[in-house]
Amino acid sequence: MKATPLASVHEALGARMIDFGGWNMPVQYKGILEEVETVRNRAGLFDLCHMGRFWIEGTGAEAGLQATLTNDVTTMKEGQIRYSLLCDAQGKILDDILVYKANRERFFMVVNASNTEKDFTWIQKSLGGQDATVRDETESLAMIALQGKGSAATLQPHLEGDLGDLKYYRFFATKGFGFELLVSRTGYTGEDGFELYYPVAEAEAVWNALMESGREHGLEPIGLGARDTLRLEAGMPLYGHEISADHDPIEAGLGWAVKLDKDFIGRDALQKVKEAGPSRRLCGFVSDGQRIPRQGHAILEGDEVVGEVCSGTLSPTLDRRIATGYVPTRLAETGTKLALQIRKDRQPLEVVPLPFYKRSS
Amino acid sequence: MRPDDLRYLESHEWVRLQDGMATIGITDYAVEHLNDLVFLDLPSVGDEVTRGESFGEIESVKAVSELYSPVSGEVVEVNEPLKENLDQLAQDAFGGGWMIKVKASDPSELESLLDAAAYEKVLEKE
Repeated sequence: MKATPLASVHEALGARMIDFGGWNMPVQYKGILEEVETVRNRAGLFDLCHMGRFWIEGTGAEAGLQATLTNDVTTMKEGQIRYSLLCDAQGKILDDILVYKANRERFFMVVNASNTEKDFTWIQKSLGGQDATVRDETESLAMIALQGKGSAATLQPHLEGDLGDLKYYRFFATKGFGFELLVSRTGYTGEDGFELYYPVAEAEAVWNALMESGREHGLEPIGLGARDTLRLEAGMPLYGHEISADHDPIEAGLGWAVKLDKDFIGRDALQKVKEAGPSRRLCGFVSDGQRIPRQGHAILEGDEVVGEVCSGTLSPTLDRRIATGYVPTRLAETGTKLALQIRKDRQPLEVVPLPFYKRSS
Repeated sequence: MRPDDLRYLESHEWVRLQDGMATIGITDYAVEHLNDLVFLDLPSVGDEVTRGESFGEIESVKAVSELYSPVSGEVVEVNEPLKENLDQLAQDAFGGGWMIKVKASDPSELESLLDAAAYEKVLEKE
């Protein structure tokens, strides 16, 4: 198992650790529910050094990525970030990623930890004849996220660049903490916030400086357990749950990140899915009962199994049990009443719109 | 040190034997480790439980865990109010947090269980 450069910080904080995508990661510090509440109302700091990160560079970088990703990179401005999928020729999802455009010859990409090697090989291969190279910077860069209302006030004192100029899904390179770093206004929680990329040798120094400046804003360290609940409340998919090589982006509700007016790997297959309409759809559910829905629980219409749960949790923000799962399209209408089988118990399940939670500001 | 009149399982259940009656619960360590408890499933009076096998489930926000019985026998009493008041587990795991009482069919089963000192050693390794 790999350790992040912040491992000793987590140990000192008394975090409970788990294996996540081959990395020894903090799952919780004080408790999932408390940490979710902290991010929704104040601010949280996350170690994301396990996420895969690449630089794709060369005169053919833009053309190569345009032919690899489902989303359009040619219409992106410099300093812009887009969500995209990597699909295979059958239109099935290999991963979901964020692509950062520095300019037409330099792109940065953030991918799921468990898919880092697979994605690297796939991108390298699909760039093919283009003059472009992929560089894996996962272990030479630290990555942390600062999420919640208090994020900007916590981060700004350390930076030369003005966060007021940084819009959602934009990034800039700036001087801060005594060196050059990348700051993006992105996140996986449904709150305002930032993700930082900087030299791995500075991993602890930046973490500690933020914990210090964040104290007056209620900043706390947040584990992957709360991160999963935060992203699920915000209706964001997680690879291995809502999306995988068993699913295509159309049925996953991610058609907005698929641009069929250009050519890319999987385009023709996805064109067909779009024309025919998906046979099943990803839905959000609430389940009012004692048990918490979890991945793999059967979804029932009467006594017939019509799907299974992708993710489920007790949402502290909504104070309800929530879940996602695929059901046949005819059952995907909001308000459809189904049931959940949890071992010997059955409990109600009702289709609700995604996302479960949207911040008010 | 945890109560030394109890016996323990490595899976963090405790048992107190009095006049052939085994009272069973889970330790303070288990309660703290599970964190954010939401659901408790226990057997009914009259059910048989078997040593080393599951007698119920406890669910936290993070996961569902089986509860293992330290003894075999018939369930004679169930702490029904506990199901609606899981906070009791955090407040008093070895008292008000008891789960079931079992008429032990073979009280000698307890002899091979961990005493308090041996259970502490298990925790040191976790």
